[in-house]
Amino acid sequence: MTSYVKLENIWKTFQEKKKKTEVLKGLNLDVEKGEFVVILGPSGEGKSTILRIIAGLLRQDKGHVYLRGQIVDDLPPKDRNVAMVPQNYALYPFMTVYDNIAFPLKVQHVPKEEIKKKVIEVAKMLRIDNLLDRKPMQLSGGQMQRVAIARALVKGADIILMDEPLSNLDAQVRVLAREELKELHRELGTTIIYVTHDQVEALSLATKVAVLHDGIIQAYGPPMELYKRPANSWVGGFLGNPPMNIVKGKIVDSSVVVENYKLGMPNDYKDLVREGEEVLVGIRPEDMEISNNGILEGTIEMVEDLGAYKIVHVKINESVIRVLEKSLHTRERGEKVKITVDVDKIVLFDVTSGKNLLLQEVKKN
Amino acid sequence: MAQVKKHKIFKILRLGISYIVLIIMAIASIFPLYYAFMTSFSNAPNLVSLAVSDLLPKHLYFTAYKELFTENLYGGTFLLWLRNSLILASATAILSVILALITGYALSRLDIPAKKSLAMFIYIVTFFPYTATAVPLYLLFAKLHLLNYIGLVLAYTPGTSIFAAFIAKLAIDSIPSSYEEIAMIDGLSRFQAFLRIVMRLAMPVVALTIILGFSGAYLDFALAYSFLLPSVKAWTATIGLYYMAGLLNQASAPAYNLFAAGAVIMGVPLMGLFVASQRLMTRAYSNLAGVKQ
Repeated sequence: MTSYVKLENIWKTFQEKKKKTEVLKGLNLDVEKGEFVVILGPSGEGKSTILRIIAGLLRQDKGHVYLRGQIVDDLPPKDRNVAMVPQNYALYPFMTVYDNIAFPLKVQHVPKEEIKKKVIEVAKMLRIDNLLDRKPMQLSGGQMQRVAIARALVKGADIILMDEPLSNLDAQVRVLAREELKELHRELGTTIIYVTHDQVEALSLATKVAVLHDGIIQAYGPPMELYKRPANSWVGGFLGNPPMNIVKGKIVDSSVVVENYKLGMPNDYKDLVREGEEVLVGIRPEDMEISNNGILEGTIEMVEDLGAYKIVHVKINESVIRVLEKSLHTRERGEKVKITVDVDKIVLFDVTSGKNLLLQEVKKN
Repeated sequence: MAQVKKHKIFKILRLGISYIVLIIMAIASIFPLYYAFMTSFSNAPNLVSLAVSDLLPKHLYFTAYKELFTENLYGGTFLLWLRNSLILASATAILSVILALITGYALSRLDIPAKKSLAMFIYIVTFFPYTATAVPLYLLFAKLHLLNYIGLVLAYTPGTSIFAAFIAKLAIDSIPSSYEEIAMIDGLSRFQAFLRIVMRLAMPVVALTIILGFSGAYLDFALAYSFLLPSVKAWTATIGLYYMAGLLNQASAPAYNLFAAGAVIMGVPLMGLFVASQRLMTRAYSNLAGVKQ
C-alpha cells in the first residue's frame, strides 16, 4: 500500500539570535489513506512544525514531503489541497460564520449557488447551521471550533491537518468534541493528521499514534499496541497516566530482580535475556496490586486520590513505584504494604539504548 | 448620613471641576475655527475686531469666496489649485499606505536579515523634523529633474510612511499569523493573504496612514513652494492662498478674509476624510476576536 502522506528524513533547524535549535532531526512518517494519525509529543518538540511543513507554510531544511504519492517540496500551500484547523481557530473576525466557511470556496471562484449548497451542507453536519449569521466574537469556544472544522471540510480536501483543536475547550465540551471528531472521521474517511500533547486525546482518537520526541518519531502504531508494548523506555514513561514505572533491574536465576525482590520472568522475554544482564523494567501501575501475598515490600510515600482510583506511591528501597488501586481501602502515608505484580505484563528495555528488548531482537534477525 | 452627604458633595464638586475644565478646553479649541469662519464672511480684508459685539456678525458677505472662484491676477483659480492639492494629497496617501503596510508586514513577519536594527533605525528616523530636509530634497530632485508632482509625491511619502511603517509593524505583530496561514492553505498566495486578510485586520493603521499622508501633503507649503513656484497652473492650494491673500508683501495689508475663506474651503475635504476614517477606526474589530485563547 502506498502512503498518502509521507515525510522522509525531515530536518528543521530554527535560528534565533545566533542560537540554533534543531527541532526535527531526520523525521520519517508514513500515513496511509483514511487514517487518523495523532502525533503526540511534549510541548515545544516541533509538533506544529511538522504540520506546517506538510501544509507548505514552512520549508524543511532537508528531506522530502510526499502527498498522495507526489513530491510536493516546491508546491506553495495553496496548491497542496490540504485543509487545516489551527489551534486558535483563526476565524476572520470581520466575516460572518457563513462567509468564514465559504471563504475557501470563494477564493477558488466556485459559483455562488454551489457555495451556498456546500456551506449549508457542512454547517448542518456540524450542527452550526443556526449560527451562520453570527460573527466569530459572538460564538463560544466549542462553536468556534466547529466553524473552524467546517471551514476545513468545505473545500473537500482529503487531507486535514489539526493543530490541537480541542486544547482550548473546557473539559466537558472536549469530551463531546472528541466523540464528534471520531464520528466525523468514520463518516468521511478523510486522512487526518492531528497534533496534540494530550495522550488521552491521542489514545482515544487515533487509528495510529506517532510519538514524537527528540526530533524523530519514537514509536508509531495503533494506540493500544504502543501502550502495551512501548518501543522504548521513554515512550513507556510518556504514554499513560499515571505513566509506566521504569526501574533498574537485573536478570538473576532466570528471573527479573528489582530492588532485591524476585518478580519472575515474563513469557515474551524468556529467550531474549542473558543471565546477569542489567535491564530497565517497565511495569504499568494498573498491572500491580497491593495485597498481603505480594512480593515487593515498601512504604507508602504519597497517595493521590482520583475518585474511583487512587495512585499510591510506594517506596521500595531506593525506587518509588506508582500503583493504581481502586479506592476501596484508605491508604495512609507511612503504611507498610506488599505488592503483587502481573509478571507477564512486564516490559523489559535495554539498559543503555532504552529500547524494548522485544523489538531489538526483531531487528537482529 | 453625614458620610453619604459628604460623598454627594464631593461627587458634584468633581463633576463640576471636570465640566469647567472641559468647557474651557473646548472653547479654546473651537474659538480659532469660529474666528476664521467669521473672518471669511467679512468684506473687509482686515482682521475682525475681537469686541464681544462683533462675535455675532451682522452681515454675511460672500465677496471673499467670490474672489476665490474667479480667475485672479496670477492666472489661475483657487479651485484649480485645490484640485491640484487634492490630487497630490491622495497620491501621497495611497503610496504611503502601500509603502507603510508592506514595510510593516516585512518587518513583522518575514525572516529578513538585521530586522531588529532596521526597525530601530526606522524608529529613530521618525524623530527628525521633516522640514529640515526641504533644502537637500530640492537640490536632489532638481538634479533628477523631478521638480514636479511625481517628485513631490516621492518627497512627501517617506515622511509619513516611515512613521506609519513603524506603527504598522506593531499592529501586524499583534495579528496572529494563523490568519494568513489559513488563508494561504485555503488558496491565497502570501500577497493575496496580505491584501485580503492582513490589510483588513490592520484597518485602523491603514486609516491612520491615509490621514497622515493626506494631510501632510495637503497642508504642506515649504516643499510645494520650492518645487512648484515657477508654474502657476501647477500651484497647490497653500501656495495659491499665500499669493492671493498677499501674505508675501510686507508693505501692503494682507487680505485676511480671503485667507480665511480659503482655509474654510480647504478644511471641507479634510473634515470629510476625518469623519470617514473615524468610522474605519471605530468599526475595526479587535484583532483577536476570531481566535480562542
